[in-house]
Amino acid sequence: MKASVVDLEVDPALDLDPKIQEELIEFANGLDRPYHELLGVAADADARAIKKAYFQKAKRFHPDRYFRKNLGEFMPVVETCFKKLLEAYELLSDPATREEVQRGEKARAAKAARAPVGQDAAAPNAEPAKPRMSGAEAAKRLRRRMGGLQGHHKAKKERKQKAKTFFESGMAAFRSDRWLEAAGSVRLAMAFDPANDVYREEFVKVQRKAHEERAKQLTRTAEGALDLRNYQEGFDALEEAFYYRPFDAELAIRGAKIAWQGIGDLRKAKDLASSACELEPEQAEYHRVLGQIYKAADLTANAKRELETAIRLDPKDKEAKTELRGL
Amino acid sequence: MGHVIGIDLGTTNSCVAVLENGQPSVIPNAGGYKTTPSMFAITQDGKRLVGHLAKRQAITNAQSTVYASKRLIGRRFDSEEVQRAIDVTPFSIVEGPNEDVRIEVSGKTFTCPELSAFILREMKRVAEEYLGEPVQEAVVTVPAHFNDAQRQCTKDAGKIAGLDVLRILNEPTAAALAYGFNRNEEEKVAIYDLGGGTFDISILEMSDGVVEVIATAGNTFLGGEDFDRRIVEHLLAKFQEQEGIDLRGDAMALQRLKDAAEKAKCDLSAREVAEINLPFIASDDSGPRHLSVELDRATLEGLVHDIVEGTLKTVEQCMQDGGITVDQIDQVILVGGQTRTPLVQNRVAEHFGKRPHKGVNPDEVVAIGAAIQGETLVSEDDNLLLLDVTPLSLGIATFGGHFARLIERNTTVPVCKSHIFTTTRDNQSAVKIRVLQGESETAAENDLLGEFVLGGIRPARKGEPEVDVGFDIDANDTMTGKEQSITVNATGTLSDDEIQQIIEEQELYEVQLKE
Repeated sequence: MKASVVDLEVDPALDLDPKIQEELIEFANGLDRPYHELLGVAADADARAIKKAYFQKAKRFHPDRYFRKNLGEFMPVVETCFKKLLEAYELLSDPATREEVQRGEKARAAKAARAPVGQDAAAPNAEPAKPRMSGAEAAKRLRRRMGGLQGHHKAKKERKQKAKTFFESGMAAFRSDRWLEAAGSVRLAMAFDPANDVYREEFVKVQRKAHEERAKQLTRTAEGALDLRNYQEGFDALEEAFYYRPFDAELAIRGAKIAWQGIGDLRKAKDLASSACELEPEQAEYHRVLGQIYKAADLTANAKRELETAIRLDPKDKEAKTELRGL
Repeated sequence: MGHVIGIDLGTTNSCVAVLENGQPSVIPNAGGYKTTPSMFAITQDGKRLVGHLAKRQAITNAQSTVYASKRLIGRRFDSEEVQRAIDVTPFSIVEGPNEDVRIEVSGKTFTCPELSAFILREMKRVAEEYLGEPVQEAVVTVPAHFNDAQRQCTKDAGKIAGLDVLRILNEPTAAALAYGFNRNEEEKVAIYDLGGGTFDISILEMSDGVVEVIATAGNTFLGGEDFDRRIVEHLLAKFQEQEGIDLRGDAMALQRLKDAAEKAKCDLSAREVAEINLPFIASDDSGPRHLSVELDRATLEGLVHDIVEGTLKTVEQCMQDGGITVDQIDQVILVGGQTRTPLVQNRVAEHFGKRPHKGVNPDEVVAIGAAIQGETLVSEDDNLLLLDVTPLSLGIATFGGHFARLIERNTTVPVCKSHIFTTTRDNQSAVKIRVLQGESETAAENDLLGEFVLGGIRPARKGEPEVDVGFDIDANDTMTGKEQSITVNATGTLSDDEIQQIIEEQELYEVQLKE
């Protein structure tokens, strides 16, 4: 949550009941409280009570309540509060997530409670004695654990099987030159079975190949299109090629020039030229081109900065000097 | 402050309602009808007709009369649905410059939002005449299963028609609002909405003036028009069998058959047998031929049985999504003219184990709900709040063409979920994010909402950088990708400039008419 929320004060000039303003400020300042407190219900409240509380608060926190009203700085607060309220409701209304969430909250609370006496923690007997578990309880817990474990084994096996299927389809794709698809499938295999080194090694190979091939193919497409003065198509291909060779500053600057002079898309030109400058900050030409693009977009201050950088890097750059004088 | 009207922009018929002194009422048009056909036509002498006037001349002017354009709105020209529609419609459907759908009428090309705007403008006019004052604000309904592009196009249509569309509302939700208005019971309600061209099912819970949508599902290309089409196919086959003539290539005959089919279908809701007589439907060397076919209810039910069963499968899916069983449902409400068919009523009753609620008019309830939502938004009281959901999952394309869901369907909106992305290569400076909407596991099969590149990532080894991207869906169900605060615009929709151009063009046309 932004710190500014804390500073908000009740403003009677707004189209928002001061009482609700107070409630919102209080809610927004306590977003890290346990979820049941956000809803204003007891920790062991039943599903019905949770829903009722959610509905009641939603009536005051839902942005629709203030449709096109003047809420001033409260508008983002209303949205944040509603979204948090929704989160609380969603987590607590599902028994599975509720158990998990509340266990986490309890652990946090316990830790916070212990913190002040932290210095004494080294003293013996600081840890409270564990209460003895009844036989029935222990058996139940054991069963649950076993059940969980079995489920875990089964899931693991399934995942391995899935990984294998993905890997095989990936290799098949690789053999028939569908490199991108191959890389995607092998990557999934890796995700499902991270311990398998074969997948990992193959993936590196497949992906490198996929990207190189795709970039090559795109550069060729771009070349052909640019020969025919089809700038848009050429640009699209170059832009995508850069996506696959994101370290290739030369590709970026070419794309930038075409975007600027060929299709007149100054935004894209700027983005690409900036990327080129980031990749190779010592290249005067890149800064000059970026400066020229800024100039074309009437962003004089930025243009000046870039052109001056270009001249600093290469004092002999005449073009940059001419451009700078023209500003 | 003026009134906010609620418009049910239907596939076959549209309806407008308003809240007066806290009471909802449906506004009749000049002819006294409470619904207006969603049809637009240009006559031979260049006159533009909307509604009943357009419908009346549809037979003699089939090629220049547009109906059911809602089935095409916001779709890509190459989509299966559009291609299927091209085969069976008498008017001409062409491809627009943004891979969108355009319709050619009397040599002029219209976008789908433009065509919807003609209907909306008509509904606006109907309301203005009734209220005696100008109307500017409206809530317009769409099928729950409409995707972002379809919603955006409907909004554009409102803009073109000179309306400030306060909200795009889901049809079944609107029906639920109308049903729950001034009721204070705590109950779970199923809305089964089978309209002219779409089917939706929604499960809602109401209590203390809050209407919460629990789950919604549907099919945007299934509805009463499919019933009609099945009957037409049946008639065509019968005629060919009897007379040996295929009427499929004859636009005027097809339009007559379509009208007759619709009428027979309606008749069969109340009667066991309907007679279809179409004299002079064709002619050959031996003179004119007439079509005379008797259709009984059992035959009709045989023709459409699988469509109805298909809707029940969707109902099941929706119930599962919402984690609800049939015995938890307190009320079943039928919406849409097609639910008048006894087969539909019986199958729905059997499925839920209870008779549907009879208190609402299936043709009018959606417009009433829209008017209620409009009034609730602008009014000061807080006795009604709608908690709506997003009908389709939202996510991004991941490496390898898979679809990663970030916001699951049936999530209450407004909502914000964030997700951490990383790079797949060393020193990667940008990641391209393709935002998609749909339910398929394969990215390419979902609708692309937009794409953007997140740049400026510090060079690092692959998998190390963490880019936190927040996705926001507002209560209008439109979405933004936050980190770079780019609003994702659906592809195939109109730009603001285009809308402005169309508005000016229409204004020009209006002026011409008055002269």
